[in-house]
Amino acid sequence: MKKYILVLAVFVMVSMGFVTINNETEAEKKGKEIFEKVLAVNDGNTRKSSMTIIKINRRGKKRVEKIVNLVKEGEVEKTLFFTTYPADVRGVGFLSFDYHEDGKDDDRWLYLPATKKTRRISSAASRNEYFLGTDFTYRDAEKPEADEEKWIYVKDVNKEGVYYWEVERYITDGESNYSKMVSLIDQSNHLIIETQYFDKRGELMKSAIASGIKEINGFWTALETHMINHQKNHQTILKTENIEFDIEIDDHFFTVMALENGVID
Amino acid sequence: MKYINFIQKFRWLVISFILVLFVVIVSGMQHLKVNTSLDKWFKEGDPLKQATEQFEDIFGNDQFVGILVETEDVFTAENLKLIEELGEEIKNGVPFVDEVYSIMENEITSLDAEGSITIRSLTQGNSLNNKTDMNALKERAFIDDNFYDRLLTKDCKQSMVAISFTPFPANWTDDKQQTPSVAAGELVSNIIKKNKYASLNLNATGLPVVNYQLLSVIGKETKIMTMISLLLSILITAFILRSFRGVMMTFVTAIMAILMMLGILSFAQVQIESTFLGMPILVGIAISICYSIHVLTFFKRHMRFDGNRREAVAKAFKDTYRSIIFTYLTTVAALLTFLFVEIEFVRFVGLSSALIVSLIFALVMVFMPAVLSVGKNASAKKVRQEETKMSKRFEDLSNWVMGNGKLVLTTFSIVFVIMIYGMTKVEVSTDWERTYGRKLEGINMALNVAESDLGALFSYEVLIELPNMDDAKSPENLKKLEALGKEILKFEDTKRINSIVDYVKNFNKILNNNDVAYDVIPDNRNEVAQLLYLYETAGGTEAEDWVDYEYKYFRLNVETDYYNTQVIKENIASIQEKAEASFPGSKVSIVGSLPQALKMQDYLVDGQIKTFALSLIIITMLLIIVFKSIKVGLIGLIPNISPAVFVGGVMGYMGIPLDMVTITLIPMLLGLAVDDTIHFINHCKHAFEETKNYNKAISNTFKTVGLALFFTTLILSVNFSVNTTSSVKMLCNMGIMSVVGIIAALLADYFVLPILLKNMKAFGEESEETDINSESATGIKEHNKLVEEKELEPELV
Repeated sequence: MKKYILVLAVFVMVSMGFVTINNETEAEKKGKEIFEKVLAVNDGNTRKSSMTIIKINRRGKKRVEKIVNLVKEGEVEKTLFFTTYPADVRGVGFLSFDYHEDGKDDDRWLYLPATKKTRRISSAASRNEYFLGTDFTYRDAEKPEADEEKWIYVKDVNKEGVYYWEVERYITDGESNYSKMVSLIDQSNHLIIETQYFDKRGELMKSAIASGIKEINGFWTALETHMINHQKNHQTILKTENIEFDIEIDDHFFTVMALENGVID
Repeated sequence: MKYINFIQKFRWLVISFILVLFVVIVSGMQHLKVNTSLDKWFKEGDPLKQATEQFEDIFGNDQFVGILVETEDVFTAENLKLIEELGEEIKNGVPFVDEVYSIMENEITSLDAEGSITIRSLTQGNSLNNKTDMNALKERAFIDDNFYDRLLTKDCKQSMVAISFTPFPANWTDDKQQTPSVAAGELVSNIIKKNKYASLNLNATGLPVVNYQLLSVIGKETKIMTMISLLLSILITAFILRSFRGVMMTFVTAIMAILMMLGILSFAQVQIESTFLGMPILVGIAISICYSIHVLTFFKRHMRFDGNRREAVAKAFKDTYRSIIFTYLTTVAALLTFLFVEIEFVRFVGLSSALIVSLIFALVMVFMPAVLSVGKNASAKKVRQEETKMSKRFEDLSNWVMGNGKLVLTTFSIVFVIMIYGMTKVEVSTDWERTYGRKLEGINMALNVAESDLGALFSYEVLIELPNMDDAKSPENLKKLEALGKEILKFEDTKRINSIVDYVKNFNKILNNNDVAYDVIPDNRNEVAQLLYLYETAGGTEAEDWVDYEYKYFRLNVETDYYNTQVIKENIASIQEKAEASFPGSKVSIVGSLPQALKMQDYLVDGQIKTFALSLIIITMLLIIVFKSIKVGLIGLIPNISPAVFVGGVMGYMGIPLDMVTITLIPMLLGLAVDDTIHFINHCKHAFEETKNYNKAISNTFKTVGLALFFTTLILSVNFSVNTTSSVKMLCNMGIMSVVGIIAALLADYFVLPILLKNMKAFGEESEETDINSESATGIKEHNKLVEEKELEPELV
């Protein structure tokens, strides 16, 4: 009898283990599929937009900044933006070339209208650094790339009639501020709608919620993202206005001369 | 003594009632609220506390940890890797860490050969393989002033790893009930002790680390010292009383009172200041011993002389109850004066000590007679109508004192004057080295960091609230801030200053090809705004460290190098004045750990004077009322001032500073010393009323009360001297000073009080036929025996 129980116990344990292993594989497989769907979301080769950045500190004090932004993707991703508000920093411009090549630094230029001087900035800015003093790191603000994250499917979630996939995301390409991220993906348009960021100690660090989801000229986009840093008690709201996708943007906009000419309309 | 008879009659009921009450009160301890932080020293609503809170509200958590690396050469591949690992381990393993700053974390902003601004970490793009690489790294490290100035010494032997924290949540504690700051301090302390970092010779400073180390040492030592002092007291009390029940009663009373105090404080939702809990516990044990010894000495004496237990209990209480009531009142009055001190922990010590003394008083007056009355009468063999050897020795002492009045008074006066001179040398100090001492690892480490080129002993913050939003972008205001900084740098004790000025100037210089001519604040407002914008967008939320979100506040951080209370006080006053003159219409506050320490000193000195003066007035008034004589009240003052004068004098000569522990000692000693005086005068007065002769009355007092005072002093001295074993300097000093004070009080009671009582005819004229000078020692003995047989009935009023 004892022997029988022992065999049964071993069998149960092995099968539970098997089920778990099998589940993990399934979860990873499904996670990968979801990730591919997210990567496939088209956000155009060029974009032009105005952006309002609202930073809210722990005292509830707000700082509002506005920028206009031009992006052209390709072998080299070119970005140009100008500050338009507040008035005393209007015209501060920033031009960057991102070469997508390992070991090659980005090229960046900075223009300060008060000094009428352009300076080249050479930096291999870490994607874990905060962007424009907001709660977004460069990595948070960008769409993830195929080889840098591992996604694991957790469950389906229904929120007010909208279906989402919940996934756990792990960064696999080197350094990160996070131990993991947990995201909700809208099953209909494959946009990342909510993300919780956990620090290296496993504590909740930040959470981002996208809203104002719209299809503009066939491109699904979130017009507002609200990031809360729970540990620093600081928030950032990014509002996108007048966004245009896949428009013709001439390369001459991405030159130092254009930077010095000032704000684009 | 109706109430004693009542208690004796219903003794089992009384005992049961008290035990039930004890259980009910002690059950409250489950709601015990313990405060382990050292930063809640100021009362709510204190102006400096409010200014500090405003500062923290605007600029965030001002707590930091600085870890100093000391090695032959920081620039070896192994050391740089270790520094990097240390930073990573802290970021990943310590809660509430906001940023880690180190030579491996921070970026260097510089101009490269082509005129590009480069922003890179030290090792980015450089290998660490050989000496040439290391030399190139060293060269890079010294390009950016903001990089090396705070992180690296010129000789590359020392480097700083600094940690800033996110705001600590208000109601967070870890599984050890530690506050966020202390919990972070513990984890940092554990990391830096790891073997793998041994070659970096790490020392850490900052409140989280120092507080954690202090709390863990004080917590451990308080437990051990309380146990040792309890054990020693039990042994000595057992030796003196030679009665198992007496010893049990004394300590059961003390322990019950301690537990009940904790229960009552829990019910009343008063936070227990764990760091200072040792003081009320010590007072509790001391008072319990004093009261018990007085009652038990008389009880034993009566048992010895006539053997009837119940009568002995009644007589013992009759002999002592008035003294105990009055000593209780004076002690509590002295302790309650602590409530006038504006510092939370002093108030806690006063309140909890007063509570414990009240509980002991109640237990001694009600529980003790009930327990003592249980048992048999003494057998006929044990009843002996003769004095003990000790009593006889005290009689001899009395005779010697009364026979050498002039010599005794002259000697005492000389010593008194010497001690008063010593008092003038006492310094108030709350600096770490003098109050805690280097024996404490945490303090030693912090001082090592402070003494290094990169560290500082203390820092303070000048907070300037400008009249309007965006005023902080004005070039004039920035220039004024720069000028103020230059003034502050002229002070000898200033080690470094930090403000937004450095960043604006540095960015301006870099944007202009590193030309030193541009190492200035630009004149154009938009240019300043754009440089600030650049700084903020480059630095993330860290920008809030120096200018607030509305550009309305300036923060100027001043690091100081050495600690001299007077000099720093003058400097701070001067900064306040200069800042107010430079920024008319602005509000200037100076906050931080140093101004807090200085303010606390002010409160301590002020509180010390207030509590001492108040206690003295209350005690004198009580003495006058109790003994219905102004003369007796004033004579009683002398032995009560003595402990303060002797303690002050010894502190002055030994260079012991007045700190938060020694400051609470003097009023406490006053409360204890007055007990002895009251017992002495009370007994003496009644003996005089019986004999109408001072020498006889005093001799009788020496034999009874004198003996009890000797025992209580012995036990209290041993009890307090346990503190001298502490590795915390201020607790050790408290031990020494308590013993000095207690012995000074006893000496004054033995040598000065009787002579003054006699010389000033405190209780009136002697009757003529009894003159000590004409009487032989045998005569006194005969008289005393007569007094004993008549059963002295002391009556106070």
